[in-house]
Amino acid sequence: MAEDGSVRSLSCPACGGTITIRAAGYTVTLACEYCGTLIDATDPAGRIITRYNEMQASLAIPLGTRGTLRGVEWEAIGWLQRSDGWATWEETLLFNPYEGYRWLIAQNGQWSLGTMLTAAPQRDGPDQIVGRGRFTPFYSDNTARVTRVAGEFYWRVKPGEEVRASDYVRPGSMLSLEQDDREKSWTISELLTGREIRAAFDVDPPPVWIPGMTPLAHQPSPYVRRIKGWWPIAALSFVALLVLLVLFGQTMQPQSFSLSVTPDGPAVSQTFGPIALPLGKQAMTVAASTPGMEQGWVDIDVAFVNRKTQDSYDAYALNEHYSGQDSDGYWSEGTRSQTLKVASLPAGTYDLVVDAQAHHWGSSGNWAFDPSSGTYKTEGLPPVEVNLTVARGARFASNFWLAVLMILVPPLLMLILHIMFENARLAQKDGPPADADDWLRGMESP
Amino acid sequence: MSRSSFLYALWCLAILGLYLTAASQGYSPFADGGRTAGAARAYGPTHK
Amino acid sequence: MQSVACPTCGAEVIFRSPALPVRVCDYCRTLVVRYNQGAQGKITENGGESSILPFDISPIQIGTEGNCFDQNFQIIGRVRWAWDDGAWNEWLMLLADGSHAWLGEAMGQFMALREMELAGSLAQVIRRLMNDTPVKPGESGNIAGQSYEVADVRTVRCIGCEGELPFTAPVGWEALSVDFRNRDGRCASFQKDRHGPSLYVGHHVTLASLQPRNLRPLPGWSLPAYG
Repeated sequence: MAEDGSVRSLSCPACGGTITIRAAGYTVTLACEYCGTLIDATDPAGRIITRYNEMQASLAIPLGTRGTLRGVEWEAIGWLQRSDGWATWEETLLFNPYEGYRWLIAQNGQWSLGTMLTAAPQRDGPDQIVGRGRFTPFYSDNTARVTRVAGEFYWRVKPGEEVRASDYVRPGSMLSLEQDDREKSWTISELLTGREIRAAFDVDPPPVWIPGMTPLAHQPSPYVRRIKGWWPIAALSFVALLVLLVLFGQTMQPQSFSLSVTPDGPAVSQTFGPIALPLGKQAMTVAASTPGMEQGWVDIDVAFVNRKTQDSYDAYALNEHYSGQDSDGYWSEGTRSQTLKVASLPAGTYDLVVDAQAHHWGSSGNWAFDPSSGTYKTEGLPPVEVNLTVARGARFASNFWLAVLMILVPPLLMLILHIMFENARLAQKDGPPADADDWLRGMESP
Repeated sequence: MSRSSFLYALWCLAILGLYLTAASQGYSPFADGGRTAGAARAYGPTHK
Repeated sequence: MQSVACPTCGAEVIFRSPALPVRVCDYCRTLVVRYNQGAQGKITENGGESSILPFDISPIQIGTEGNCFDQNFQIIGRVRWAWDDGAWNEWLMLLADGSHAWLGEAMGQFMALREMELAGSLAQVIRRLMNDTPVKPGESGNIAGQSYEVADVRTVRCIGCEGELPFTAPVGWEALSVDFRNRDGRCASFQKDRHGPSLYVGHHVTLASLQPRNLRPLPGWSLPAYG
């Protein structure tokens, strides 16, 4: 055995490769990183426990690599691969003589840092409590089996070794109970951010979750954090919008015009004005009401025509009112007044051109055949008064709701992604199906 | 403030800006009426 | 502090504690036993020579100081125990009040333990251990008002010692060791050897919580700054 600082080295009794012991005195089993042969490290001669002859996987973190994680320098000294039948993961044993051991657990490209607990968690119903963290059951009673080993370990590890494992989760952490006939041990694994693991050990960055991928049981939904960060911004924007809605929506300088049309009579076209618009661009509000109308409808076309450019800005209103008696008594429908909002009129002097035509509906009145249109029309009905109030400015509620919708689109998208993420995560849960409680827990911050 | 929150705040500011622009121009995509598509209503002869 | 000459090699052997009877000579590894206040050392009855401790990477060394059980302590001795599947260190702490306690170090975890008198009403599991009745992991019992569970039961073998010790610990000395754990991080250890049974009670500690000074420097590793 050569002596070099804190590291001891020996030749693998099986393949002759030089292997090192980095945690001398603690290490019990040494798996040759070249041929996989298990060596008894408590025997000064390095006795072979089991001879293997398999190619070792190329490790993401080669044994002997050092990295600083959360302020502590760690050396990767052991590696094992485990499987519970449907999932496979890798565990790297980290060592620092002043800090003891930690585990780096890699699954689906995500990395967690595992610390063995010296005290058992507190039980609360089905949950387990460690410190202030509450862990809910997720996987129960799986058998985790060691499939491959390399490096050194503080216990007699060998391929095929099995433990019964149960896991409890909270966002960002997993609490695992592993037991065999001799021992029960609890480990907390905290999910490391891509930045943390990459800064410590130069590994591939963890993949960003996309729909279709299976998240880890303790992987926090990346969308919750966004939704939580965004909602004050959304609320603030909503308030700002309300203020803008109130500030920019007043109507002013109303002008009233009126004309009368005879039901089933000729269309009436009348021009009112001038209407002077001094500002750059503005909307116009036209309130068209036909207070005296019964059993009929009035088509009202309004057009603001710029006197200079002859540009026309048009809108159309249909006022109608019908009523009658049936077995349920009196009924009426239709509205006798409409408010039209016309957008973006440039400054200038305008005429208001109104085309109105009234129609009668029903069987009452004097009907006569009109040869020009080939239909029967009533005659002798009193004319209907059309009142128009034109004012500068308009309050477009549609703009407001559109803006609210646009503000809500990103959080809603995040919410949908969050639901998809949590669905995929909770689908793996053992035991009773995920309930509202599991969903609420998923919203908690890591 | 995280990067995502910053971007979202930027998005909201853009929406508010658009809203403000629309309000000051009296514009709405859902107005009951506006500039008639096509052309002006011309009065009088177009003979040259 | 008492200084005697090693009966084997003549080197100076210093007893730092007033009460401990055994000291391993730093040079020739002879177990030196002192009788009462007699200044003369003597080789133990079985002529014990402690073997050279195998290299280990423990951060503790003789002379490490710190704070435990609300007192300052100094590490003055160590026994290294082995069992079929590994080995661990028991470091002897000389506490400021003159008493001593053990700092167990296994798998990178530390336990501070003080001996408790085996008297009064003892849990059934302890009484069975004292009568050499087998006990299985998972069995529970009360020790000093706390509920404990048997974590493991093993036969252990002393593979070396150094410094001052409250008993002679020749290499190959065998004992039955039973570890107890409870859910608050407390732990207890029952040991039965040819001297009889003994019980130690304490709790898990982290190295940082001991505020240690004078840790063993390990080449290639930077000493952490505590406090």
